Amino acid sequence: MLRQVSSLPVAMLGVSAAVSAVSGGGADALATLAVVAVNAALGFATESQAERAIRALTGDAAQPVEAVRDGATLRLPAAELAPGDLILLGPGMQAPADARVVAARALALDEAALTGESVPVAKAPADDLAPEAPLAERRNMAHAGTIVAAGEGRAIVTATGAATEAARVQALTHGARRPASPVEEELDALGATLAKISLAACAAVFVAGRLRGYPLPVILRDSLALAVAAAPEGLPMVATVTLSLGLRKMARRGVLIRQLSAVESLGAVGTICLDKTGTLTLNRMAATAGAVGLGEADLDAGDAAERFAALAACAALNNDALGGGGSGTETALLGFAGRMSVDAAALAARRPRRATVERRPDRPWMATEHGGRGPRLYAKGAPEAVLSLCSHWREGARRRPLDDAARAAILRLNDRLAARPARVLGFAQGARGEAAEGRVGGLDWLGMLALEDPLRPDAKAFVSALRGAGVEPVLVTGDQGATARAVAEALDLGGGGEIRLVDAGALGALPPGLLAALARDSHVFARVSPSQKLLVVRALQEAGRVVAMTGDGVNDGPALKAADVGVAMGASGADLAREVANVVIRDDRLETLVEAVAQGRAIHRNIRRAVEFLVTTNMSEILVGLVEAARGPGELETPMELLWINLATDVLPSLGLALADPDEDAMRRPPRARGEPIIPPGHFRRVALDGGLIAAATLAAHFAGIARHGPGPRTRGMTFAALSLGQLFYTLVSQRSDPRKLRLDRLLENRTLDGALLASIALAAAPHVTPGLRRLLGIAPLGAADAAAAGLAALAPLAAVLARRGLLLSLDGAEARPR
Amino acid sequence: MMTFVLASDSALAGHPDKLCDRIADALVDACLTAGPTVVNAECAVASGVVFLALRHAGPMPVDPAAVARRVIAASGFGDDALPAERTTVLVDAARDDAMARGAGDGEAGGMATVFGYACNHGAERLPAPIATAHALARAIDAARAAGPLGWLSPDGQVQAAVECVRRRPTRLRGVALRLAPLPGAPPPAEAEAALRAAAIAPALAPLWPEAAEAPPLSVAFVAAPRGPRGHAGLTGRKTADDGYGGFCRQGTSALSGKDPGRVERAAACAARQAAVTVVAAELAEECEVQLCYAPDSAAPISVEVDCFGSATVPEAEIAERVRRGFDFRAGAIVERLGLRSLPAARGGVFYAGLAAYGQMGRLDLDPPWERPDLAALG
Repeated sequence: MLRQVSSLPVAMLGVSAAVSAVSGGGADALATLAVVAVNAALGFATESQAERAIRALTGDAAQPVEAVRDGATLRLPAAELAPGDLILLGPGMQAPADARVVAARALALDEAALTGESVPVAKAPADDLAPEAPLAERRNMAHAGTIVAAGEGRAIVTATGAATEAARVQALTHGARRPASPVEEELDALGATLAKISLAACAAVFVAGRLRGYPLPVILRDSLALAVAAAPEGLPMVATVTLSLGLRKMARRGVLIRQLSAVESLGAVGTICLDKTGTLTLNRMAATAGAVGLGEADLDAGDAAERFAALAACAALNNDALGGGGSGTETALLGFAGRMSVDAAALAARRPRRATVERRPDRPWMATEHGGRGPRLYAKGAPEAVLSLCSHWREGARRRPLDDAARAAILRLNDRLAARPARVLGFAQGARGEAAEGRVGGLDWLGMLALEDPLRPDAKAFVSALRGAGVEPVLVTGDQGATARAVAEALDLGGGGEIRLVDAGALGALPPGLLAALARDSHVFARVSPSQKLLVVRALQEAGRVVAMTGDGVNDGPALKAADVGVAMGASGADLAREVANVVIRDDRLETLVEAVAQGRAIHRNIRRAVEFLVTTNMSEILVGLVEAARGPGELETPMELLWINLATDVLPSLGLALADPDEDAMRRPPRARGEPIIPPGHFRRVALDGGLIAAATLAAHFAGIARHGPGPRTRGMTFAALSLGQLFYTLVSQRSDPRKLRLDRLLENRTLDGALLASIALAAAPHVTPGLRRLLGIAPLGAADAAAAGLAALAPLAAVLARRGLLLSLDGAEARPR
Repeated sequence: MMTFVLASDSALAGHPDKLCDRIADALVDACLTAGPTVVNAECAVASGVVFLALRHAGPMPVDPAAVARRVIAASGFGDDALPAERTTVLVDAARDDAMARGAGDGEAGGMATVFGYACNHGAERLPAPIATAHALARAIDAARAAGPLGWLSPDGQVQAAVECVRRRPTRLRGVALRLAPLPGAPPPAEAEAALRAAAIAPALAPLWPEAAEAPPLSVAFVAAPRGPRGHAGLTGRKTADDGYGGFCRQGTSALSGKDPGRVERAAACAARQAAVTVVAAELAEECEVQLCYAPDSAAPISVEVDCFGSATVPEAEIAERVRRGFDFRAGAIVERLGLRSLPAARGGVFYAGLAAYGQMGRLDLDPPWERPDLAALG
């Protein structure tokens, strides 16, 4: 409420009331205060309702946390954690509280949100830290809000809620208020600028009056009337209300917005980084082809179980999915083992795992050492990497040394399998050796498996819808180049043209700027590790794009968070992504994501239209006021008149404009540029021109009144009618921010706006027929001729804009959207 | 023009231009072996990033980035200087199924002028300057790989200047080397001595016995890093090195990275074979065959032979026998020489081997165009 009253325009109204009271206009003062109160109350009610909606819709959908309390493992909401609880940390998870790490396996946290550090920080138990160690050096702490980038661990909660470091940092930077969305900040700034302009106009009127020697109360009243005229009361509210209504509309269509700024970013998205698994695919990974030794082998052949026996044992034992966890790949491998009649659980019981060499970004394979009878070592991973660990190849009982020709044959086979497109894994076993750092080698090559995850049926249509809307889809995947290329070709990512693929090596080591240059025109990033996804997102942003990114949250949390719009796709494993994404597509349909972009564009465009309308009409009021004041005392409208006009013409019509549906061509046009202001510079010319038109027509009515009646209530009545109705009629042509899109037969298509206009016209007409209001506003009833003149003046701006649309094509060209 | 000196260049296998040639030709090999797929590959390397521009007919059967990485891994720079796994590869691939029609079935598509040359300066039937430069480059690379010159970067350049009288080599006028010693290399004087002993003397002994012990040598040791981190590379920039070192006329088109069905590449091989045959038949001491192709005809519109006055029978007769004996339509060349099946027949690697030490005169790789077709001349 305080915010409503404390804004600059409202403050000006308050001062105006005070001056009226001092200078003897008691009724004026009361009325002004009443309007201020009504306006504030209305604003407060609308805005707080919008705020409630925004808070409800963007509320944190925090995931339950696995915690050990009194020896029992529970799933608790983060809010119920207490210091002393033992929590389990896993990949992609956001730490729910500050906690001290007591056990870790390759645990690394992305602390960018807290410390700005862009590289995940390794965490491990430690007891030699000084109490005053800075946040970034507390290598045994998992801080709330940071994201597990890799590995897993257990930690004891030390602080929750407001006591966490994150809460303390946030208290320093944000306070308790919801951070304003960019467009709200922009409008606050625009409102302040307009208020300053109107103050300058007041000052000009004041000085001119003094120089001409008018009495002080008259000068004061005139300049304050002008202030009232100019105050853009509706401005800050428009954005908030439009955003909240937009959020609600999106929520109904299955788009959950978790952060308000994401709505605008959605509308400006220029590039969408698409994660392959789960976003473009059905997430039903399964082995579809395989190779044993040097040759391809049919998985469905009668002797498949026999030929693949060694490989299936390797796939079952060298596997992290047995405990129930594990990625889609691991689960698919277990499925394959089952198909080859391998009882993975029984085998694992007979051959317990003794040691493991974990897969790492720089080591694309995993090796395990097992007890029991049989080969001691098993390895699987990227075929080329596993092949480099091998000295022999084996098929059944046959064992041969790997010469160059055999290696080349295996690599060719790998390329062919990968191009299906499939993720290809190589498998190897070793009779001796141990699974220890740097000790794996001399293995026997067993063969390869091609794992395929079918593309979603709607993926191709999705890509073409994005391209049509000027949004570049970019595939960012950990798959090898051949797989990624085949997917890109299946989706037509290049739009019929060539496909540019970046096969990422060490992206971080590239010269600065080069990655941004590469990113600008590439369709596919292959072999990208999760931490490199972040680099790709940043590079695209550096290239000037507004970037959206889809992901499943496991491992790519940092990239999701760095993107302007982090998108989590509904049902498929999105729980983790929800923690960090700011947009959730609940129904898991790609079409809905396109819809979300369209809504984002519509919301921004609607705010733009409402704001342009408000600025145009306020401008016309200032111009009318300036001209009248310049002609001498007694001609200017009363403050109450101007207040009434604002009440009638600002709030309802701008809300009507803000509620329009997306344009039909919203998704056939390019997105707006990053950082394009809410009113692009090119639009100011039309704002000025139309504001001038309304002012000129109103002044024509005013001068007609002066000629017939001289200065006084009757003339004011005509001016009032012309100005208020002129603005309302003008609303009809404000529906299109591009005037070339105006069509006579569609001026009345927005029913909400039509209703708002009818109500506003009733409000504007009320003083003419209500004696009490007439007195308050200081106007007299209109005769038929006066009413006709005022009506004509009110219709003139609308007619002029429509005529100009047909006549001044060159001007229209100049008003084309800036790109 | 009785006496002149001609200097020809060669490059060590790790020169970035040659690395790009090898990557491009490795892609040709891979596509021909796995597809066979028609491909034209251009490669550039700079700042540790490899750029591949591909045009191919039909689906791409191999992973171009992986092929490039394998070449880099084998380039001898080692994992510190040029780590193959950490190299970023940008692949710009355009599928153009119309290419498959143009390649191999005899359509020239545009104009092309191609030269083939052979002479009797040595067993490889190459002019002495380029043969000397290649022999030196190969010897330095071999000694570097084998150990004695292990302190050298794989990137370097070799120049050999030969004095000729009446187009016959008479004297080795000079050898200039531009090499990059790695950290830990011996001091320059010692390094130069090692170089002479391990590579230069053995390489020159069969070619210039009198100069082998004390060749007119100038060595410039430049500071490492060389290779793709030191300077940029591009396919097709060493066309003179790939051919005849400037001893005869040369076409403008590069060979590496082109599908062998492309007329520029196929015709270069056929013209060389025709020239080799003329010299082998002892019809002339040296022979240049010029082929000119036009869009409206599969066969060359002109087949010209120049023996520089060394012919033992009238030149016009040689030209006539070449015209009659060799079918120079691109499709016929591909078929006769088996150009598109060579990689598969040689274990998947053939054209990549030609990327360093010249595309012509490579008796070590036994290319079909080095075998004289004496029967054709009748």
